[in-house]
Amino acid sequence: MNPKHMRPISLSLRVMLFVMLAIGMSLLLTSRLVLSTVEHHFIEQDADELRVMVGAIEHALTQESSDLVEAPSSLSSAISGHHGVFYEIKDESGAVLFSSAGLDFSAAVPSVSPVVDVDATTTELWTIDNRTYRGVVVLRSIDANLYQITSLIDMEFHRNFLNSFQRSLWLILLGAGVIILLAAWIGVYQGLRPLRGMSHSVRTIQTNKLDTRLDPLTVPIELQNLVLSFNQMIEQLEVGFSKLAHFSDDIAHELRTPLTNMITQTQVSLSKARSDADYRELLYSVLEEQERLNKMVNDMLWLAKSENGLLKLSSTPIDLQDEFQALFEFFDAFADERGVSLAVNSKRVLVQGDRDLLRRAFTNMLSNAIYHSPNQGVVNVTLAQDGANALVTIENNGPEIASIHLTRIFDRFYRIDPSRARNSEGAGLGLAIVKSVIEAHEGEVEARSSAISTKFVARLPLNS
Amino acid sequence: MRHQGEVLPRSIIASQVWDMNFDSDTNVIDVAIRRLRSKVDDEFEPKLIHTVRGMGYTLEWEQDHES
Repeated sequence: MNPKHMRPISLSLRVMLFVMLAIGMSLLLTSRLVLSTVEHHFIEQDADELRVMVGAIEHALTQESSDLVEAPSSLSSAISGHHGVFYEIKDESGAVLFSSAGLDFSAAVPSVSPVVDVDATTTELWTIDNRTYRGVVVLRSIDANLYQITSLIDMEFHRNFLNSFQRSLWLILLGAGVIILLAAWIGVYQGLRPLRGMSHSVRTIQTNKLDTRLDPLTVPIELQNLVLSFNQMIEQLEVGFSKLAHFSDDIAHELRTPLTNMITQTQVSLSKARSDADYRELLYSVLEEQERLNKMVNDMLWLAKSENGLLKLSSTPIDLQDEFQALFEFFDAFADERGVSLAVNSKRVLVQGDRDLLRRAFTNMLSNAIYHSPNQGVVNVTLAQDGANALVTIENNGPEIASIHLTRIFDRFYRIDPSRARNSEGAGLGLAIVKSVIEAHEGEVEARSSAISTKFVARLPLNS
Repeated sequence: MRHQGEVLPRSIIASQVWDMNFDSDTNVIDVAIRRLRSKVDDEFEPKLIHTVRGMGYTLEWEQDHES
């Protein structure tokens, strides 16, 4: 598999890895802390014991210095009550004066420099015959004699305790870790349940019930945005779907009329023998319908192209005032015939764009305005600047367009008259083309209507 | 008289005369031709401007294309 397309690590695994890391680290830290505390406590305890011992030996030596025969017994009574302790007392020359029985540590105790105070920092660890001892060497001057006192405590008991303590501590921590991991896993599994629920609800949404929405109040707050985005997507899909459905409906309608006309006329003509003139008449009629169909298909293709961004716009500076001058000349006879006068109220406004396309849009707008203008009506064109935009307003005093139609009037095939009565307006693609052209120029177009006037306003970026 | 005898569709007339890429279904060209005809042909014989149904208009001396 291409590593670029590799599936990201599963959410559960991610959470578990992080939890595992966090637990491992904290348990490790805890155990280190506990163990070092216990060990430190033992060292303090040993040091205390050694200090007491050295004190007792000193005391015994003070009393018994003259009587060396009595010394051993008073020394052993000095350390009685202490368990696993050993001592050795040397004089200045290094000869051993007294020592406790059972342990020969002359060889084991290396050249340790004597200390003055006995505390946790001055004691040392020695290993004799595979057993560990904590000991201290002190020099004491008693009644002008100098003694070197070495005392030791057997550490084996502490070490055994520490070892077993460490073992049980590890076991407990391991158990705790496993329990936490298990809880985390269950938590993740449970935590993902609303997602599974959502996935289930989403799966039930079919194209024929796109009006379904997920309720953002029934999911945890973290999923609310997802649900909202999803609902938004469904809504757009719904709009798109219904547009598409209407669109095919409309196409079918628009195609059917010319086709039916042609079929009927042909059938009638063929029902009996006719003159050449009659056949010619038939062909003319059929040609007209074919032209209508042809134009409609071309417009639809053009709209499809523009919708898919396939239009290639040329870009030249266009003086809108000149444009409308030319348009007015073109529509002059037509408007006159319909008893409509054209008026322009303009400044010099320059835009940048495709002259042919913009002309096409403005012709559609103007011919609509003239067509829907009452006799003796006026079509007013206003060219103005509004910030960085050129504003083209084409206004007539035609009948009011209800607001429900205003938003959809630019949709393909949209007709205000629901009966789709056929008239010379064409297939209802004119305004859709206007919208496409204006939007291809990064502009916008809108329709406003009141009882007095109806305005179509196109906004185009000015030529800068 | 360059296109004498040729049938000119409305779209060509629109682009040649007004430089308009005209595609509206409104009868702008027909109105204009009607006006032209009233000036050129109404009071004269033979007629110059002839309608070719379904196709457009033609400028010719004699023959009447209309049937």
